[in-house]
Amino acid sequence: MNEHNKSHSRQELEALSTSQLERLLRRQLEQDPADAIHVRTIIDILQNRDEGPCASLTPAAQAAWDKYQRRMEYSASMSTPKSSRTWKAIAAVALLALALLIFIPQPASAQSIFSRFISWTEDIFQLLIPEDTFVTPPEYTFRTGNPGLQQVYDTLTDLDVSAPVVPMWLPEEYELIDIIVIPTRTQTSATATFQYGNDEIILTYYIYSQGTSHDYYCSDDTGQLYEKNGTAFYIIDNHDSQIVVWSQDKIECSLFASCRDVALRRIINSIYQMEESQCYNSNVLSVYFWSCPW
Amino acid sequence: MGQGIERTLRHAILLARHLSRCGPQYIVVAVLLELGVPAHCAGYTYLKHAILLFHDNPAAILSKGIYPAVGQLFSPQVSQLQVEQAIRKAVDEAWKNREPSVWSIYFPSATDAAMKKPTNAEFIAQIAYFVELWEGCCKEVAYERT
Repeated sequence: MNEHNKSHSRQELEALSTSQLERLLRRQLEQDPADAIHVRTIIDILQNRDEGPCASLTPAAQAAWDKYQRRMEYSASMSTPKSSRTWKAIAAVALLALALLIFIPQPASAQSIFSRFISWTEDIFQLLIPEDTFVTPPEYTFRTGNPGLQQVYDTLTDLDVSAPVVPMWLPEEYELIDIIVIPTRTQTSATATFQYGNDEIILTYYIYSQGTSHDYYCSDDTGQLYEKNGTAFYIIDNHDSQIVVWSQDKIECSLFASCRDVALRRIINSIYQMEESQCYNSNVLSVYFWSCPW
Repeated sequence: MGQGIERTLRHAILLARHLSRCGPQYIVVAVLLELGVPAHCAGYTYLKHAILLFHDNPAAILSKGIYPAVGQLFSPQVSQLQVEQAIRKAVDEAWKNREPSVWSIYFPSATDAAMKKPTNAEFIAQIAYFVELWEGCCKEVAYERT
């Protein structure tokens, strides 16, 4: 009996006949616990020796086989993977939420979601910042239609002159000829010459590096005092020419016009013409023109 | 189902041919050993009895009928929770060290990669169905021998 319980090697088992293997297998199965390796080896050997299934099954075997297949098909159809069940549940919840959003009325706005969709325009999708929410602070900017005056302004800006000393208006027929800048030890002079035919308008600015103590006053009644924006402008007539002198901070300014027909006061008023920088919201744009009372 | 399930029939006929005179309990043992259920653990014994009980009572519910019945077979009586845990542990051990070619005989699926670990109920039911198939094939073998 003991030699039947010994574990036989595969070669020894293969040397046994089929009926011997069957008996050995039955004995192994009767033991508790059975030798798993032994049982599997015997079954494997028997499987290799097996001639395969018969061509046609008996009715009982066929019925058992059909029943087994039906059970397999049923269990395969019932056992959906948990992951697909989870995703199906998530999709169902998402669809339900979407249906609730679409079909349940919005009491606060009294609008359906469709009317909101219709009201959308291209601007929403372009993600543009609305113009009216961005406003730049107003600042003094020199904008004039006369390119010559713009050059004078730019030149003085380069000389660190920020005070409003450049007129924004000159008679249109006058064109800028040149701008001469002469720096010295104590001051820098900038002279801009505008010409129209034989007539000239010359703007001269003396920029002192240190604070100026120059104060103009009339020694007699030949000059005219014209005040504008707290600044005293002295207008002097000399035959056919006119001269305007004034001082602003550390700058001595003068305007020479060779023709008496030039509207000096209008030119003076245009010095203090301000316009706010252009805002993004055109409704807020405001331009201040110190109109000439001329 | 595909051709993979044909191996199940071939194997049932094989066992029927060589173990036709045995009772279903030997087939259950053979199948459990083939699947790699460790014979030394308590779950192996509980599985053996649970499969045979389910084979005789296919309509029985596992938790309410099979597990308590298995527990009552032992002295001292084992609770159904212990039976369920032991069976689950045995199935886990067999699944860890499985041979896909052998498992595909009793749990045919489309591919070996698609095979997933069966639950206690699936394991017991599947083996019981195979035993039922084996019994039908035994009649096939008996017919051959006449």
